[in-house]
Amino acid sequence: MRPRALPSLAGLAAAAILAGAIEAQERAGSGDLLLRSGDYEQAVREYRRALRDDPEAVEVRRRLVEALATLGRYDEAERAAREAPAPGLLANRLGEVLLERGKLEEAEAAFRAAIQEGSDDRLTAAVNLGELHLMQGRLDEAMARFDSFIDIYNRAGGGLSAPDLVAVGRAVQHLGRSNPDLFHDALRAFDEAAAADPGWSEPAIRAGLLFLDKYQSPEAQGEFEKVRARNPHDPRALLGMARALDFDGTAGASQRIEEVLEVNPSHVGALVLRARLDLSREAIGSAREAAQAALATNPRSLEALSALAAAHFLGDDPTAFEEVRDRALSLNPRYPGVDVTVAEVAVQVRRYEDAKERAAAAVALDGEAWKAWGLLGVNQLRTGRIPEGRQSLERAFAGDPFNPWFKNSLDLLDTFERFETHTTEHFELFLHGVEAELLGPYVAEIAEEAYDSLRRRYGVEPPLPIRVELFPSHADFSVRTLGEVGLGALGVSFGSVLVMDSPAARQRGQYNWASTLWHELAHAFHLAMTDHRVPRWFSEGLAVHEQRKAREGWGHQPTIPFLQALAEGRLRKVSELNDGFMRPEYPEQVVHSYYQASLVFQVLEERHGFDAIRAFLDGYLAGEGTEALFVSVLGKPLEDFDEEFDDYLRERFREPLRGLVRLGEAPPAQAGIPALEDYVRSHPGDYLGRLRLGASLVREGRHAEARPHLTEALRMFPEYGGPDSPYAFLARVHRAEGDPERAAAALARLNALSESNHAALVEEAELQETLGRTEAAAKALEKALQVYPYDIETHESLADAAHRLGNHEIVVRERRAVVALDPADRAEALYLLALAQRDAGDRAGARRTVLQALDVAPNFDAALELLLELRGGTEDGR
Amino acid sequence: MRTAAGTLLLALGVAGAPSGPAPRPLQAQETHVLIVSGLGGSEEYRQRFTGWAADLHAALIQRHGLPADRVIVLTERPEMVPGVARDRSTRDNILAGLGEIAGSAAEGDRVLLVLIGHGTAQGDEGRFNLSGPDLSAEDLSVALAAFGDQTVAMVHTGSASGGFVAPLSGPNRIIVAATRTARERNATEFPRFFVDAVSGEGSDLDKDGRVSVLEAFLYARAEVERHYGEENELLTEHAVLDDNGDGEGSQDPGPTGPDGPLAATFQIGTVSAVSTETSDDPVLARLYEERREIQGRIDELRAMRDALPPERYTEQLEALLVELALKNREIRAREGGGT
Repeated sequence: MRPRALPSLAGLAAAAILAGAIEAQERAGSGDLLLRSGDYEQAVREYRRALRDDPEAVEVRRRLVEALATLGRYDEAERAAREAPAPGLLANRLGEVLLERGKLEEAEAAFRAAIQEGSDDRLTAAVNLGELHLMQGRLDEAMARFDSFIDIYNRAGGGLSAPDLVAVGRAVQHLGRSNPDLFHDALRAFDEAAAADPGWSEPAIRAGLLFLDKYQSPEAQGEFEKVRARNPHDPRALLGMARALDFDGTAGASQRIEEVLEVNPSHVGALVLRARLDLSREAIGSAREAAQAALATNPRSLEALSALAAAHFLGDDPTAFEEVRDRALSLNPRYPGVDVTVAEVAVQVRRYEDAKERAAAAVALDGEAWKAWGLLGVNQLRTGRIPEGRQSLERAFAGDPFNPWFKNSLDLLDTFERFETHTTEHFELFLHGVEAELLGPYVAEIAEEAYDSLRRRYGVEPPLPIRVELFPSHADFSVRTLGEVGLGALGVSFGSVLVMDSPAARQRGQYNWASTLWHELAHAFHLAMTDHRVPRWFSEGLAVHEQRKAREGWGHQPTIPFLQALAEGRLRKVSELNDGFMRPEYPEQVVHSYYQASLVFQVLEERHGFDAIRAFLDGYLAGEGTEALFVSVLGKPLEDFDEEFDDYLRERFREPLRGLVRLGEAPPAQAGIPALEDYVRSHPGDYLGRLRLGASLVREGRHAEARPHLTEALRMFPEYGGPDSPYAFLARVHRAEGDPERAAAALARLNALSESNHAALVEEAELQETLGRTEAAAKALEKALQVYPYDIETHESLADAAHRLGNHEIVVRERRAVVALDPADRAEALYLLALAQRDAGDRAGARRTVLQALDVAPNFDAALELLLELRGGTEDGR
Repeated sequence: MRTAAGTLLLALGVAGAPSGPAPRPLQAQETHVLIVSGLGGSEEYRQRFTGWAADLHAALIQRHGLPADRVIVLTERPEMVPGVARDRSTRDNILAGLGEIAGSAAEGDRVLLVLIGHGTAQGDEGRFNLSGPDLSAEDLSVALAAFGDQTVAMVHTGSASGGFVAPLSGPNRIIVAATRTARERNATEFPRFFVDAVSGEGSDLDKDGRVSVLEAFLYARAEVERHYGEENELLTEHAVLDDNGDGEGSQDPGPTGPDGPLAATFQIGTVSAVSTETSDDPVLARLYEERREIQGRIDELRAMRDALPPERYTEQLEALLVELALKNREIRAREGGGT
């Protein structure tokens, strides 16, 4: 019976095996679906079940290893790979896992085994091996291996599988290092791979990374989004997006990093990027922790070592920095990445000399490190070494012609021949030829005044001369600063090189160039005093504080959105203010942080004296952190100051905050006067309601009715100096009522709360003149020129006012400005300048000028008479 | 008193203005003007165009001394400016006005035609908008053919006026257009500043007491550019002047050419109203002659400016200017105005 039974058993067994294989196949298929959709845990379970049924299923095992590695379960992944019945077929995958753990020698052996065994993924193993060699600095070996891929591709005649095409693309991408045209071929290989296996994410990931490497963030994001549409949890796509967002400077990078770490808490790339982001916001401690966490997974990760080295560098621990750098160089003696990383983060914290030094070290290690050449060039430019910077950038661009920053910067440098350099005692003013003659005297005057004031206040001198560059095109200023357009700032201080918009770069009424220059110069002092170690929030706040000390109305002022943010708890604490600048939670938070930070210094100076501020700066120079300095200088922890400062804000703005409390549904924007009157009647304490009603009544010419509402709004928020300030409307009311005295007073008050209201300044000047107050008129006109110096009438008015005041120096300056503005009647302008020079005692200058006038108009009688007079006043004039 | 008739003559000589009818003695030259304000299209523009036409009319008579009967004004609604506008600005009236001037103008006289209004273009052909049929460049070309013995300045201050330059360009013609081409079709700011140039004080750029078409053009062009700059707007009009007959307007004409020499000699006002260069007093006549001689040497020196080292140029210029200044004092003393 038994033998008979055998066939049955055999039959049963065969049936069972068949059924098991089918089941295994189904499980594998299900695992694939789960893997590709991002349910990694479930995929692991399915693959394990499938392997129990069919332990020899190579693809299933490979995917199990992939799924485990994706989850960061590297030990299990390694074990699963090693347990393969045919190890050669899993060798490449094993090598990849070992590589992620930094087991380089074992990884190399595994890749070689895969190649020797002739595994179907041997091309992937070959490119992995090449990249391993590249990582170790074995450049020739790596390049020779990559080079062979071109033949492989050409010989295959279109018959390569998707993984092989990806391998080809990766190899060719590396060859692009010395032949940039090959980047296009790499992209083609990735595209072909995507076409060969449309459901596979790898080609899109690789294409995205290539785009990102070539500075094409939108295209990169497009590729990563393709992957995320299939698998929202794919860590490489998420990390790619994080890098792209960081590249663009837009919010969201940190969120993506967190999403990666949810899948794999020990993901090296995510931890390294987190460290980089932390470094950029000067959070050195947490950056160090993230880098160390990455190294715990892969102690030989060059990127993680670079991040850690950068944390040590910024933390002013040169010994630890050198030690980590040495560790990296022991893995790859030509590795420029540590120095490049340090240079990049040094730029982010404004340590440009350090950036330059590190970039130079990087190019010394690897002469083809184009990014390093670019960093060297850009930072040479930032530190005023223009010819050297151009040379480095040209080298960088020759090696990396895709880089838009190199190109933009070189294009900008080509325009420098149109600029002129004016030298003063402490400054080199670099001004565009079309406005140098006009702006030179004004910029020189303010720059020297600011220098003198800040030097006396701080008792130090920054490195001299200080170079001030003014660009009449905002795009050029942006390129000079970042290498690309789009910078929102008005000015930047690189230390003793200040770069700014000229007033021509901005709409009239938007920009006070003198105030901005003062701000940037203050940075130059703070950076010099701390050897560029002052945190951004501190430097920005203190610079605004200095603006306000310099002139009434300069610098950031309280606004309604600021107070609304205060009321709604959307301002950062002092202890988090750096993030307000570096990682704003909403777009306006940067502007709010400027004002808020400036108030910190108002409080510090009022309550603790200027010496406390000096002590902070000294502490930063000594390498101390903000938290420690609050304790050592103020004797209180930063958290306590957070509370103290919050109390200060709420007390200082108590009235306007009360007026901004939302009492009811405000009438819509288009509401008419009756609706506004109803609203104000029922909500008399509503600031915006009062202001809107007052403004509407003024617009309707109902001045008497408007006055009480505007006065009440003023009482609630007297510091508000925006263009729709109650003062602006009250000035109109007073003017309409024939009271120039009060109109001028309202405008004067408005102009004391704002630095750039050009129209109000000109109007105030006119009124003051009408009232016979020439000095006040001249003062208003001087302020108007700090906003918009291109208006001939303003210069003429100021010249006239100065003449009446007997201030010949100002008359000459103003008449010279009129000439610089190239008026249609140039002869007249020159003649008036000559008169001013004569009155100021400069007879030789006057004679030269009147000759210029007569060169334009030889029959200009008055000028001819002046010439005779200037030649000595003799009867015959000879 | 500023006099510069000598400069006028010398400028003709030095700059080599295009050949044309032989000038008569200056006092005998007369200027004939036709001012046209076209179709406004809206009350705002109608008011503006008519107002500019009236301002120009007043300036020519009151400031530049032109006899009222030689300044014809045609507007869209003459009743808006009674006593100023003679008739409606229709195509027929414009052509009739030009015909009337052609009938009365003597050889060597100057004819100034100013168009204030909207221009359009059909293809590259320019048109000036009027009530009824528009005025085309072709219409004007035919009408201006009657002025073979006169110098004609045609100033089209409106949009798309660039389309009038090539068709009207010719010998002894000055064509000013507010726009470089017929494709610049936005409403222009040029007329406002051209009228300012004629009526205001700031456009006498060489301080000779008169305003030439070239000076008015340069003033208006500069003010247009400044206006756009101050408004932070892109410049949408690029005025040009052609007076060398090549049909190509220059954006930057000057007394030394290639465009500009003829316009520099075309004074908007009458010469005799502002200048007394001759005298029955033989002493004064000699002084005038001596002054002309000095002015001539100054112009010669200025023409050689680029060939001389700057210091030498300035030195020589100053010496001549001192001579001129002293001569002016002599003249003033003789004229009874003191020194």
